[in-house]
Amino acid sequence: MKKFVRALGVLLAAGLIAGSFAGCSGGDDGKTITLLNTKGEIQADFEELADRYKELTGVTVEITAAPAGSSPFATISSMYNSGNPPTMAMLDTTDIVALYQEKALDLSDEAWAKDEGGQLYRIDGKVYSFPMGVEGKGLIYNKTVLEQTLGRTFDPAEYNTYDKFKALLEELKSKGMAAPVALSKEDWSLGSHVLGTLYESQSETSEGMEAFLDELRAGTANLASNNRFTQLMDTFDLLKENNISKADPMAADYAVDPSYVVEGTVAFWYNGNWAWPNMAAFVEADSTTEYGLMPLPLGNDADDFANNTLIGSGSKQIMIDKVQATAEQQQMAKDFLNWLYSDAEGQKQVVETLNIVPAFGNNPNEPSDPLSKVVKSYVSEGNITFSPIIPSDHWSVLGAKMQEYLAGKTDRAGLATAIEEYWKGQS
Amino acid sequence: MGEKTRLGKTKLFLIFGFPALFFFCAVVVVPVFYGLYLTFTNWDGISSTKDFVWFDNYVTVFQDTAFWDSMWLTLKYVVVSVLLVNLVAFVLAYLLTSGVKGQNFLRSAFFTPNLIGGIVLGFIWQFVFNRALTALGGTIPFFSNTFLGDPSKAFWAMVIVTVWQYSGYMMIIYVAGFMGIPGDLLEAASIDGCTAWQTTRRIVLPLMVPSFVICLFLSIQRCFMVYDLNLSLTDGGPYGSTRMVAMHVYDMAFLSREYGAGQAEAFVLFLVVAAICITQVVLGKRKEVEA
Repeated sequence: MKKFVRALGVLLAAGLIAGSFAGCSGGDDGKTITLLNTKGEIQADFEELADRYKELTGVTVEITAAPAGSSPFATISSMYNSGNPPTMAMLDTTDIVALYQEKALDLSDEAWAKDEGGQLYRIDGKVYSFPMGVEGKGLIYNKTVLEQTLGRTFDPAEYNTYDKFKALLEELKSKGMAAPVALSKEDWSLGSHVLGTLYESQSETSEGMEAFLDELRAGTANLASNNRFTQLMDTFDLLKENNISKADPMAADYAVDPSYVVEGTVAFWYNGNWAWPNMAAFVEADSTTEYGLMPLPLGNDADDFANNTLIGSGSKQIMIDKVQATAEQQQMAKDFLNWLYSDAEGQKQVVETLNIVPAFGNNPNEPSDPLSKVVKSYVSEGNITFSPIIPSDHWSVLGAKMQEYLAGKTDRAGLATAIEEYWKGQS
Repeated sequence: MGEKTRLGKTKLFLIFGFPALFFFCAVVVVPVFYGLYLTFTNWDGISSTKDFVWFDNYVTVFQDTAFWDSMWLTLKYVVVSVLLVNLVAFVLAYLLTSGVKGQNFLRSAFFTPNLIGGIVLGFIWQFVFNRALTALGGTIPFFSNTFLGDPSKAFWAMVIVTVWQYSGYMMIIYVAGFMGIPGDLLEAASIDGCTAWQTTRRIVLPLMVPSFVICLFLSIQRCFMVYDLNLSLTDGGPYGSTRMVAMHVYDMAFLSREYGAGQAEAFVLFLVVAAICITQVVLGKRKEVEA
């Protein structure tokens, strides 16, 4: 009896240990790969796409959602450190740059990596990541309410300078719209998107943007005398002045902001086409309201490229793990990406299920939501610029400074100094 | 089994002590030492190579003014919260052991907030501060702007929610303390002609010292380490003004990708909290008396 008890104990202990190891490997038939999704708003859609893929190919793609509020980099770090990285990880471009040497599979030989019409991010001439799509930022507008209030048709191209835009806002106010703009207070919106425009609008070429960032790093750039900084802050002041949450801008609620523009309380909301799911939640089923997206007007030169191109915000990129994934899993991951790229059904799923503006010209599907349609039209005309790589904590550190400016706790000079100081600390 | 022999004793220890010891080592001792090792490297959090940089990270810590700012802010938060949590908890416990009607129901009611996780709690209170209270703004101008939009009011919002969350838990410990006071002592005191104040001051409070020690320890330690509430209620805002030290450490390690420096800051935080808690417990223990 004693022996039996002891043997049972050993067995149980061994079973526990073995079980805890086996618990990690998951896949039952070996046809399972995992994907870390860091775009929380499309989690359910992505799962739907994965179900469809399994029906067609028998390969299970498990979509893991990154915890809300944590950065993609923190999530992927803890996954790698726990020895359980996903086969594919959807990350920001800056994360790919930080990780590619050790963790990412070189994908330069894939068919999509050779597509000249694709929005690819190359590192030393090589491709390590699959671009999810193109995203554009600017002013989201409610065309229907604009036309109702103004009593004439509205064409965003007519308001491509600071003065014209300002006059438009004045007119809206005089015609009864109390506050024509909704301005979200989120640090990522202010830090990454509004302030990001400062770097992206410096030049039409990425070399020009990099040169400006180098000046900032070297501490030689003087923002007070930088034309773009002045223009951007002038426009930002205009948004601030006409903000529906002007009385208490830091109380703006991101869950409510989209409802203002959908319901026509305001005409404009500064954001990007990724915000459509947030807006769609408020759009009524039989609504005929039209929405659009336009560049943020900077300065008074109507021919300025910044006023005629949409700024593409850094889109998410998918990399394939080369550390833990088996060759077979890597191949399955490559097949999955190829399916998204070239298979008719995959292309359709990207656009219709994920609601993404495809990063490749070979995808014939038209996005269904109005904002993505605008982005797609800018992309097909080549009128889109892409953001340079900015440090990973930029949105948080300088987002807080932008919030201070928004709340009137600091002035333009204070903000300029904070930006210059931040960049000097970057190598 | 032979409990008398050395081998028998070892066996007994292994059977009863080893599992706990093993897990303690696995989840506390090893991580602490590994973490200490990481503070001497320039690891970025994910790379497979780490270079030894000696005390560079500690130099960074002492030069990182943002870290010391959040440390100072956290210290203020801890002092205010700990005092209020314990005051409220003590008063509640006092009232709920004096035999009011429905005291058992009230005890559970006050304990409930402690059962809700910090993240959820943060979102609930965010709604309260942003919507519910501002809706009263028309009648009470003090509430017209959200607490979370103003740096000093956001600080107090954190304190309010902390007090609400923890005082119920501490109250239970104080209730146990009150109930542990022998009735004969109180009876003897009343026969000897003690006033209510004298009984409280000379008999109840000294016998409650163990409860104070444990409640202070728990609340100090929890308030120092606050992260979940900080994240979901204010997210360090407005404009970084309520960024507590734990959040700063996390951002340093994962957002700025300076894992070594973040780990070094975490270690400094550990030393500070350990020093404060040990001092508090040692001083508190000296005051304990036997009934």
